Amino acid sequence: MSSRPDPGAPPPTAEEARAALDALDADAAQLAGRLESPWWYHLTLGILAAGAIVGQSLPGILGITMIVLVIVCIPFLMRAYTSRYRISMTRPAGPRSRRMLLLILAVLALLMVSGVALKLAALPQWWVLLPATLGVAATVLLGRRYDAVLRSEIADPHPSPTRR
Amino acid sequence: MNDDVSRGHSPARSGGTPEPEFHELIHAPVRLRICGLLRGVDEIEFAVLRDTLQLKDANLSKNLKLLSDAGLVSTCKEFSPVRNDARRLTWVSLTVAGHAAFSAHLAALRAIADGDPALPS
Repeated sequence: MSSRPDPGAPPPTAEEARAALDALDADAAQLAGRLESPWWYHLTLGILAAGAIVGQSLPGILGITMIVLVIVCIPFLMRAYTSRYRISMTRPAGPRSRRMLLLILAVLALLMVSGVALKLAALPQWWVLLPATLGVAATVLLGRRYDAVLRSEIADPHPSPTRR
Repeated sequence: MNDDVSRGHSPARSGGTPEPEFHELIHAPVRLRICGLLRGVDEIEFAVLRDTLQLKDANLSKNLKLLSDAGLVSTCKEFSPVRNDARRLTWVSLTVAGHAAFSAHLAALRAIADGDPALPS
């Protein structure tokens, strides 16, 4: 049950254990406060998402080039964020942020499919600006919401219903 | 309502409720807080860890080395793109074993805080 290398050391009391857990809570809250993305992050991500949506509607090599450019740029954006804030956080922190991330991906996938549909329907190409604009808006708004959920899950990994 | 029972535990990352296991190396206050910060992220740069925990470089280095020697933490050095000198950035993360040990230790702390007489053995 125990991996204590010094079994002679006195065990922590209940109060000491509570104090240690309180210190962890305080640190988690402080860390969560550092995880606020800069204004340009989601906007840039949104523009890249719009680029991918527009790329779906463009013919031939032009569309493929645009999508490849977007794919190449995303790691650079993430790298820029990590280099500046020196915290790497690429996964959801809990069930709510996981659901939020899935929602964002589903919305973007839907918008990309709509870009393909516009091409197949042979509608004027400027129609693609509609899903592209929605892509920017969705990425910025849902991305900021994702950040907020992520921060709250890091600051409080166990919301009140599971606490006694 | 007793808020102390489930604090500081992240089943989302550990994949479920671990068996309580007290870990003396982790339990030292500084090392406990280092692991607590690392648990929520992929990696943190040394300076962010130092500033968040308000520690001296030497103190943080010493404790990271102990955790690293125990296989609980890994460090990775890289050249800084924002520095003009040759100093490197040091990225710190919990290993898989570190995640497991820390989750088990938190479970033990919660048990102790909750008055479980069986812990630590």
